[in-house]
Amino acid sequence: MNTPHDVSGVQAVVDFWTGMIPQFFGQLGVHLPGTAQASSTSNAPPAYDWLAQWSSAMPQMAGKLPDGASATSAMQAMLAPWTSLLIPHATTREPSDGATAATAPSTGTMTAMFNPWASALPFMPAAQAGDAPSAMAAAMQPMQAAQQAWLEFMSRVSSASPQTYMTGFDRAFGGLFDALGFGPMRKLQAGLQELAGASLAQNQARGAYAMLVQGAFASGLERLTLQLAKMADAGERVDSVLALLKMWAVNTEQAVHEVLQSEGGLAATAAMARAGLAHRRKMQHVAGIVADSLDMATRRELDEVYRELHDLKRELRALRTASPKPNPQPQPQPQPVDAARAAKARGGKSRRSSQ
Amino acid sequence: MINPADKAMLASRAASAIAITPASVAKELDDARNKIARGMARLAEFSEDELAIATVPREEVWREDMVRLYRCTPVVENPHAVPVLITYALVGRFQMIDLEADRSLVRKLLAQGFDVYFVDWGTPGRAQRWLTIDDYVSGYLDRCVDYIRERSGNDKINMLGICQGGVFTACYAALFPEKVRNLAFTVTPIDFHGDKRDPQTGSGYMNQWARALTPEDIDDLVDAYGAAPGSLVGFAFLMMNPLSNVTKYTIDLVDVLDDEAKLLNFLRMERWIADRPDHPGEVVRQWFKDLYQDNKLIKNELVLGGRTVDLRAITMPVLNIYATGDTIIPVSCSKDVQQYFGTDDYTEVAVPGGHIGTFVGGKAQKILAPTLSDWFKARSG
Repeated sequence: MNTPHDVSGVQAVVDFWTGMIPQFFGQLGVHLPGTAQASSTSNAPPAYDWLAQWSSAMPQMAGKLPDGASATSAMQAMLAPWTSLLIPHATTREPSDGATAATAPSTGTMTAMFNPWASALPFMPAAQAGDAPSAMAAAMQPMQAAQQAWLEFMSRVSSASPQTYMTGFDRAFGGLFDALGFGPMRKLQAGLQELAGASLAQNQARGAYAMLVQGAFASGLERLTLQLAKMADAGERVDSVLALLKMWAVNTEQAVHEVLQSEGGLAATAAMARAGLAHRRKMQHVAGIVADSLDMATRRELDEVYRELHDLKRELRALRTASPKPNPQPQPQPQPVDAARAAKARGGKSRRSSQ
Repeated sequence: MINPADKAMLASRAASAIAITPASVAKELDDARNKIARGMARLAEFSEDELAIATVPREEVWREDMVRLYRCTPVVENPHAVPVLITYALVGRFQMIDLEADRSLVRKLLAQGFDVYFVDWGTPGRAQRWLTIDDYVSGYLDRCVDYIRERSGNDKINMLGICQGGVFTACYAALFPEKVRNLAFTVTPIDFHGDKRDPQTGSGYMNQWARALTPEDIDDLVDAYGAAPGSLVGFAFLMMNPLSNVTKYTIDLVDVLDDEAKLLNFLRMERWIADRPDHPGEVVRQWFKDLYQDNKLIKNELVLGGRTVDLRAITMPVLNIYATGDTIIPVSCSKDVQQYFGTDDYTEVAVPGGHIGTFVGGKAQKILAPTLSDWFKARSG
């Protein structure tokens, strides 16, 4: 009883993303140098491993900052295919003949301009070699290192929460990292942290719901026992496993109804729905960041277009309804025309049908 | 809750009712295995034609966006002058009214000499997320009605709405009474809070779920999904009877595997169930907030496209058919709603069975089409 839209499950999320993203980009004809490499490199952890690691780490993460290393490696694995598109130069390798900046004004000029700076960046060699995962790891290294150093330093001098430190870090150095081209990465990191939090909340809501249903199952068994006892008292017997199973199902379903239709059951169901929606919104947020980075339309933008179209259609129909219907003019009846004369009139030659 | 002291005694008594032996289990398993083997072969042998649903001969006579209007081919030389337009819900497909040749409301009405049209709402996608109830009622439905009026030469036509389609039809009749001769609806919620008066275990989940959410939750739902996915709606329906659905696809299925007619019924129904279209988000928003949460229909406060739906404007004859075992639309939401309409000619008929059973159940089939037929005939002269 699982549906494709039960996307809140961790595995479902991973299946969705891992299945859709390469297909999505493939359909758009986008060259993803990192894709094949990431999938064929056994060292690179698959995305589901990452999410599994992350979700297993979630109980410890309640209200805290996710473990920096695992979050980073997780993000690296997940974003490996996109890395080359997000990191400058990764997809614009210089021609091997050495013709660089001057021959390619659009990217080349910029390359030449920033070469002195770029060469100082640790991820550039890997990016220029087309090694997306390594480039990604390298790209995140300075930011991660800075974050880690900040966390360690602040934890020594203050007793505030890691989240407070990170807020401070973000305020102090966020602009700097954005200027260095880490803007989308920072947004993604924040988005993924929120997603992890939403996953945790969703799991908690599911847990509460499952506990209720579990209680109903216990109650269902009691009901079955009662029914069987009554049958025994009346001298009746059940001699079929399937019949017994059906009796159990009927009794348990009644118990499930009573629990799920109680105030607590309805509240738990609503909480689960709410958590599922929040989780979905966080996923959409992450997808929006990626789409934005790649200059692709986000769902919000598409929705706006759909709304515009919808409004226009509505207006057009209202105008049509308001304007009087034109009287249909009698259409001239088509006259049988000799094919040869018609062809002559067109300046061509008649052709005899081959049939 | 049974106290522990009584539990042991009770269990002992209960155990004495179980007369299952190793031999009986072995025999039962053997029977089941044979049934499954024969059934699996049969499952593969059915042709697509045998599994096809909604096969009544028909002609597409009008279309707009994803909406289609069909006219069923009449089976009598001179059908009744006033056509009947059937409007199904958005949450399922129209095929339910013609699931199988021998369980077809449409065919029964055709056989009674009616000129039958029905709307197929199609499969709205993400681009249709902004469609509102008003777009359906004052837009598509009105244009379908106008087409039929023009084609048939009638100022007014007969309308039959089913479930959500019944609400749409009732709203239509209230907004455009001059175009409706007779209004019939089946398994249709009119009082969306009726279940509060008469709560029944296992019934009215949708009402309760909707009320357990806040209006902001509904907004979140619509914003997060755009168009509510059909599979999500299907999942909600499954969760209304979770255990029954487990046994349906296991024990009950084994039971019917050996019976060709029953197996075909099962497979055709599954085909219908699987074909669940997405639900435009704005319809969901208004449906849940204005109807399930605020019950605006019977308060005459529902506003569609700037016009208030006043059920008292429904002065044409009304036939309301509800199912006594309906758990999706609780009986208390459909029954005893005469006082909300402005008509003096109101008829209420109960049919046995559940929500869907109204259209495919053996007993209900004997009542539904004849009732509709007699009622329309008596008022279409």
